[in-house]
Amino acid sequence: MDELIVKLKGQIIEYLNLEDINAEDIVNTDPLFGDGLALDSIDALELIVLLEQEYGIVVADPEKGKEIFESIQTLAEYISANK
Amino acid sequence: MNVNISTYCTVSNHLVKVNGTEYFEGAPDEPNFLKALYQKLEMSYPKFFKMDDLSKLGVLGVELLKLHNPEISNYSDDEIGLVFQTSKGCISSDLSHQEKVNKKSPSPSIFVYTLANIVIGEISIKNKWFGESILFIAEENDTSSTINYLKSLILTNKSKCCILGIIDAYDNKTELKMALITKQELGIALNEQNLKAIFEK
Repeated sequence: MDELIVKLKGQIIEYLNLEDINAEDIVNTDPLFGDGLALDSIDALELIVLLEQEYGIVVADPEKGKEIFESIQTLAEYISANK
Repeated sequence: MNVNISTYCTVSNHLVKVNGTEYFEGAPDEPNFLKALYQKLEMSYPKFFKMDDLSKLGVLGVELLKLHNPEISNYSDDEIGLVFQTSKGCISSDLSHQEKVNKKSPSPSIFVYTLANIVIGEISIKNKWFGESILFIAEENDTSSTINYLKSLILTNKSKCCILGIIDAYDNKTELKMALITKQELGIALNEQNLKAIFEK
């Protein structure tokens, strides 16, 4: 899981152009939206694209988005369980 | 009533001037010139890095004007008009989007910049302004009509001041001519001749 989290942080920084942020700045359990990384709705779409392109996972149920994208930790757990 | 140019800036060939005086120069082959200018301005706005070059350039131009004329912040958020012209519009984002689509991997964050007037949106969001705004796209700049439009906004009190932006960002080339237009007594009279003179300094 730790390896996946490190890889995921790098991919998020690349996909979302978070130039001012280093992987070590992202706390695994911090919220991705709102406070934490302060991502927006376009970033949410990019995360969905990232999941599909990098891990072949399609988020079919938008209702689950809030849970999946709550933090790096929840995202990594979802990838582990679904890829 | 006078309508004057209070402050102005230009960005051309990686050379930045404010009120005709050099402010910053990036290396001619510097691929991250806009980032270098962002750092020079000591900005802290992470969303900047997500923008296309057109929006980055517009946002930076406004920061240059604000830095050299802090009185802009004295205007209310709905008193500042934005009047922009561009010849190439968002062609860079259009081409990037097309390339992504061809590879069957479209990117939402590129797609959102395939509208040229997003530059005005980004400036408005950054500064929390919601006054009058318009962006003209034309191969040749029609300065005369733009001046008339600026004057009509100010003289009819739809805007108390306006930011004029003539802007293009394409193929790592950035060209910006930007001016704060106000009713203040101090300044250069707004007319075609003076605009040409200040922007060619």
